[in-house]
Order: sequence, then C-alpha cells, then structure tokens
Amino acid sequence: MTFVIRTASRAANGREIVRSLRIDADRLTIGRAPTCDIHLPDLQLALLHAAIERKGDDRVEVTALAEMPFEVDGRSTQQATISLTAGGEVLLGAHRLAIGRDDAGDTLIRIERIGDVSGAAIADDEKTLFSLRKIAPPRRATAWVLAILILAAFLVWPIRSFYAPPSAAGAAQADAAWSPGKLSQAHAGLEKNCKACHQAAFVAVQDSGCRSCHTDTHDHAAPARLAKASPIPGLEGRLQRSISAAFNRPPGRCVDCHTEHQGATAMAPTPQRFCADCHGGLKERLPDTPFGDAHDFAAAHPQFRPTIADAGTPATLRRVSLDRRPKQDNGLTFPHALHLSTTNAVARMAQRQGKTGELGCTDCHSRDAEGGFRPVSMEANCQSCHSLAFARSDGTVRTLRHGDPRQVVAELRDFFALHGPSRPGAIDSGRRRPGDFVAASLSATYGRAMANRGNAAERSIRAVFSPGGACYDCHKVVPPAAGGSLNFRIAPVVQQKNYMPHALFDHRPHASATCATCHAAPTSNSASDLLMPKIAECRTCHAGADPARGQIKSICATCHVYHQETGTIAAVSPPNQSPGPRHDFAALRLSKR
Amino acid sequence: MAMAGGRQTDRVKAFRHEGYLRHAQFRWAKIGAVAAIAAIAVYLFHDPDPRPNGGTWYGYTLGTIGALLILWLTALGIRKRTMTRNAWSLKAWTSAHVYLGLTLLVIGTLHTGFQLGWNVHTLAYALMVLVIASGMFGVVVYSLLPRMLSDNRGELTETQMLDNLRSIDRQLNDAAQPLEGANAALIVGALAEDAFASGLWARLSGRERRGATWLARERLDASDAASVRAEILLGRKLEMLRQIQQHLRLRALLEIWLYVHVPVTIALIAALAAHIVSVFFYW
Repeated sequence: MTFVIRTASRAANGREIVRSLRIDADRLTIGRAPTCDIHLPDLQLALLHAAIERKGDDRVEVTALAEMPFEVDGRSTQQATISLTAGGEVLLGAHRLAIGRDDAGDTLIRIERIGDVSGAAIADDEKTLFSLRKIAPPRRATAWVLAILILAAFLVWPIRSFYAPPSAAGAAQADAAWSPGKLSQAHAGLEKNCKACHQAAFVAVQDSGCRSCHTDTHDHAAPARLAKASPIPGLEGRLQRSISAAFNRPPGRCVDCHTEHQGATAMAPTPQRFCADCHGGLKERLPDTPFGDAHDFAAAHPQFRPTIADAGTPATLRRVSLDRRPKQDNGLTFPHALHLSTTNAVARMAQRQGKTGELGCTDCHSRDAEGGFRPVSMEANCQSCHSLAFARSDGTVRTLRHGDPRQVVAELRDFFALHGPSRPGAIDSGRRRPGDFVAASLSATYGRAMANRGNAAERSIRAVFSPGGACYDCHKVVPPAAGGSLNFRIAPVVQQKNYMPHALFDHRPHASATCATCHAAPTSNSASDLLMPKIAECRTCHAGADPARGQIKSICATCHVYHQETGTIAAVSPPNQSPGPRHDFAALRLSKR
Repeated sequence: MAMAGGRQTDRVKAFRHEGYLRHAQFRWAKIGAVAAIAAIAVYLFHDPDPRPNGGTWYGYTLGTIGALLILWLTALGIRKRTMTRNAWSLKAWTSAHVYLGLTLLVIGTLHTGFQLGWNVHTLAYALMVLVIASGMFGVVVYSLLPRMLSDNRGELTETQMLDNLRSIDRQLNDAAQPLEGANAALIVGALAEDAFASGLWARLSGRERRGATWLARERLDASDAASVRAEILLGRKLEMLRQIQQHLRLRALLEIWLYVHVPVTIALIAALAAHIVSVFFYW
C-alpha cells in the first residue's frame, strides 16, 4: 500500500511549508536514526522509536519499538490501532502525526513539529523577558491591595465601630491601632475604652469627659480670678490661641496639663513654667493676692509663711512670714533645750530609766504613716518622768487624773476628807518628861492638822495649780475668777500637725538628716519658739528647676499641688476639746465644685 | 554624593552631560539641606510640654509640611509622563524629588517626636521610611549599575543574546542527533533549560545556577566525534547562560526598587489618610 507523508514546518515569517513523500510499503519505521523510513530529528525519540503497520483496508497499527510509550488521542500507550476512516493523532516526542486517508484513498500521515528545539523563550514576549514584569508582583495591583487593606483596617473599621452599639466584651478593639501610646497607670483601666474621653467625633477632648469620673476636683481658683491672673499672651500666643479656639480647643482644658498617651508610667508632673506663667508676676495682675511672686524655688520664692495656730477655744490661725520671727502660743511651758541637754538632771533621769544616754527627739515624737508625727501625749510620752502620783494609800499609788482639772480638784478633796494627817509615833510614848517640848508641839501640830483637814485639801489643790505644782510645770493655768473659788482651769493646748497646709512635706525622704539639721530644738528655751526651718535651710539641698551639680531638682510640683485642698492644720488637745477643724482660708477662695 | 570641584565653564558644560543629581549645581540639594537643618534647629529650640510630639503646634506644622511634601513627591509619577526642558524640566523636577525626599525623612522623623509604637501613626511613618529607603536604593543603583550592565553585555543587545542562545540550541540539537539514549536525554534536558524561568529571589541573589546544561556537560560521555562536538556546544551554551543570568540580575537590581517604591507610596498615602483622619477623629 501507499503511505503519503506530509511534513509541515514554519518559515520565520510564520508561513507553513509542506513537503510530501510517497512510500510504498506495508510497514514504516519512525525514529531519529537516518535509516528510518520516517526520520525525525528529535532528541526525545529513540534512534529506532516506533513502527506503523497496515492491518487490513481501514486500519493501521502503531507499535513502540524502544519500549517508550507514545500518546494516542491523549492516552499513553505502547500499541494502538487507528481507523483510517475516523483518523487519529499520535504524539511522538515533539512531533504530532495525524493519520488518516487522503482523497486518493492512500494512507496519509501529516507530520508537524509542535515543541521547540530550544528551551530559550519564544520571541513574542522578548520585551518583558529581560525585565521583572513577569516575575515580580504587579505594581498596580499591589498598590491597590495594600491601600484598600490599610484603609479598611485602620479607617473604615474603627469609624464603623465608633458608631456601632457597644460590642460584647472580648471583641477585637477596632480603634486600638489609633492609640498613639499607652495611657498612664492611673488611667490604665480606660485603655480599651477610647470613648470615655474621646466622646464625639472630631471634637477635642473636653473637661466634661474628665469630670464624669473626677467629680470632686475643684478649680485652682475662681475662674474669673484665674483669667485675670494669667499673663497676657504675646503675638505668637494669641495666634496659637485663636487657632486653637477655631478648632474648638479652648485654653485651660484639663488635658493642657494632664497630657495622656505618654506611656504606662505615672503621669508626668506639670512643668514649672505652667505655674510660673501666672505666679511669676501675680502681684502685678492681681494686687489683692496674699501670695508673693514665685517662679523658681531657687531663684524666686517668697520666705515661708507658715500658718500658726495659737491656743484658744477655738484655736486662732494666722499666717506670718518666718522673716518676722513669729512666736506661737501653744498653751504649754516646755523648754526643748532642757529636755535635750546631755548633762543635766533630765539626762540623768533618762539614764536611770535604762536609756543609754540623754533624751532624744524620738523619745517623745513618733512618726505617723503619712510622713508626719503623732501628737505628744501625757500618758505615752511625759508621764514616765512627770508622775502625777500624790500619795500611797490602801496599798495603791493615788494618781491625779490628767486632762481634767475638775476631777483633780474633786479627788484631792475626797482624799483629804478621808485621810487625816499621819499620826507621829512620838506622841504615843505614854510618859511625858518635863521639858519635852518636841512631843508637846508634835501633839499640838497633829491636833491642829486633824482639825484643819478641809483647809489642807484646799492648800494642796492650790499648790498643784501653782508654780512648783504638778500642772504648772507644763501648763498655763487659768486661775478661778472669784478669789475663794477652787475652779482652776488649764489653758487650751495646740499641737500643730502641719504648718504648711498648701505645701507637701514628707519627713520620710529626709530621714537621712538629723532633726536638728532643720529644727533648732536643742537651743530652744521657750515653748513659744517656732522651730520651723526657713527657706534658706531647704535651699542648701533643694535647687529649682535647673539644679547645680549635687543639688536636688525641685520644681513647683515637688511641693505644691494645683488642685490641693487645705491640709489639716492642727490637732488640738486636751481630748475634751474638739480637735481643730479643717480650715479654709478666705484668701485662697477655694471652692469645691 | 561628591560635590563638583569648582564651577564648570560653559564650554565644558556643553560637552559634559549634567545628571539629575547635579542639576543646576546641586540647587535642590542645597535647598533640601537648608530646610532640614532649619527644621532640626527649631526642633531643638522648641521645648514643648511634656515632651515633643506630633500634637504640639510645631508638630502639627511639620506634619502638614510633611503630608504636602508626600503628595508633591508622588506627583512625579504623573509628571514623568511628559518630557520638557528648561527651568521646570523633568530633570529639575526629578532632582527636586530626590533631595526633597531626603528632607522629608528629617521632617517626618521630627514630626514623630521619636514616639513610636504599634499603631497606625507609626505604620505611616514606617511606610514613608520604606519608600525613601527604596528611593535611595534606586538612586544608588542608577548611578552604579548601568556601567556594570554594559561591561557584562559587551557588544550584545538583548535580542542578540536570545538569538545566540537559540542558535546554540539548534546546533546542539543537530549535533546530538547521532547520540545514544543516555547522552541524548542529557541534551534534551539541556535544550529544555530556560534561562528566564528563575523566580524573583533567584534573579536578585545572583547565585550561579547549576541547571540541566551544567549537568549535561558534567555527565556527557564524550567518546566519539558527535558527543565531543555536543560537549563543546554545551560549554558555549553555559557561557551564554552565565552572561544572560548576570544581565538579568543587574536588570532586576535596577528595577526592583520601583516594585517597592511605587506600591508602598500608594500604601503610604492610604496610611497617611488613616493617620490624619484618626488624629482629628479622636482629638
């Protein structure tokens, strides 16, 4: 039979060139060897690859000769029968053989190379071949994807969640990525609740947000006075203010000083400039102010003006500069020097009571938990030396009641009514020798004493409340109004806890210094000496905002609190007088809001 | 960048190409440097409470300048589509783009007040830094790589490289026709090797790839004339492949920065929008 072989190839311009070949045979061999009937220069083929054999009128059989399978109509096989009428396609390596019948009735095999010889890429994409365009992610698509992701995650989602009803706990927080920094420790609980302060969209944080929690924080002073006291801003300040006002950011908001989102630490203290702006030249703008100008602790700060409580019912308060060397009437007679001496009888007595040396400050003054001191009390601090015992009877020591003069009078009266004078033994010897005047006078004295028992009580009472008496040693005594009355009273006593109610002072950080470093107690001979240190004393260690080497930086906020309420001024004893109230100075115009 | 030694005379200038970096005797470099130094000086003298941040008056000012700069710098993408000459030439514009982009790095950093965290604000800053860094990379490769590129290609154009490769492949195909199975299979592999099939990372790294061609040359059993000829051709193909790979690497390095610079710029503008809106939304 006749096989017609048509080999198709393409010219460079894409034109198809077909070469025809007729072979009369019943069996054709196909392969890379030049001896094959159909020679295909294809390295994927074996030298002798396959054979095509005629089987009857209408069928040919294709058989693999090198045990390498070929594809027929998409199936991989080593042997296939193809009907000439229906036709079929055989794939050998990079060549396609289409087998069928031509018009003349001969068996037609059309051969076409379908794979490239070279793996080097084809010409149509030469332009992009050498660039990154095919292998790098496309620029435009990447840009769109990134932009949409960012806008969705950081803008759309947070804004949607702002207007959505509060979500269940544990839901992801959409606006977390908006927070420019951690909140201070005090506000850590609001970390996930932005709306607590940022209450309305595009509206700067207003004081109303702060006030919803800080209900008892009051103004520093009346707003009108505050406004009057603040300095007139310069051109730059005025410009800034008008811009701020245009954006609904009025000056004087809480957040102007209490800046948030600065990290999870304590909120930074308000800088000194904030105070100095007004207080640096306050007298000028607010002539009726009681305060001296101040803008830096080292450079410009008035002398301390302690609030002095003078004993009385109630105690009276006054503010006096330490420059005027004020005295304080605390109702006591108490020389510090006497008690702190290292050589006198007091020191000796302390030794007797088992102390190694003389008395020290802490023998009477004990710390409280707030960095101050507890009031001195008779029972705890004085009585070990200053005994109020006055007699021994019925196997017990009789003691006067401290802090209640009426009880003292009543007790002494009762005692003398019940107990006569002790009878001297010499009276009862029985026989009297002539000229024994001693016994006679003793007896007479005893007799008189027995008769005068009431008078003796009165004398003792007067003695107790008089110089040399137990009360008079320490207290000022108010004598009875009427001459014969025994209605003695003790003047009220003030023990002041705090002389500087508008400043913070804590003794604890100062523990490394001795008491006498600041308080001149060892040389004070009078109870009315005010032992408060002057500002110069503090300045030996404390500098202002710009300390020299070795000094301590102390800004206004080191001692002063902007929203401070007046501290406790005085504890007043004795206990039967009510302690001093918290005191508001009219001059401060503190108003709680 | 090295500064020009002295003023060039007009005659020399006429013969000498003045690049975009040197444009108008570094006019924009000077403007950018002065602006950056001024911004730093004000930052040092400005002493806000409690510390410098984007929310002080100076912070808002720097932020506004920075945002406008970003938009203007982005406009180069539109501007570059038209070439013009003279004062507002594309070269002048590109020169300004480079130096003001460097100034933006200073302005943006000062605007942060060095307060960074895991939030949208720092995201915008980080994207800005990434864009500027990729731009700097671009400036550097544009000034260094073209010489290496032409050194490597010799006299060949890219099309010639491809034709060369195909021609070697055709010869290899013809030469290998008489070869036996194992040898033929090696050649088939070598012919199938595509020099352009490598991924992005492989192109950039420039590691020498030992593909099918290298393997064929290693293992080919050269015992007769045909296989010796095939071996020689394999060696030639290997040389050609090495040259093409080096060319591809240099071109990839030359182009890759734009694949960061452009999409990240758009991402930056999105992040900038989110940053600005969020700041005023929660004011």
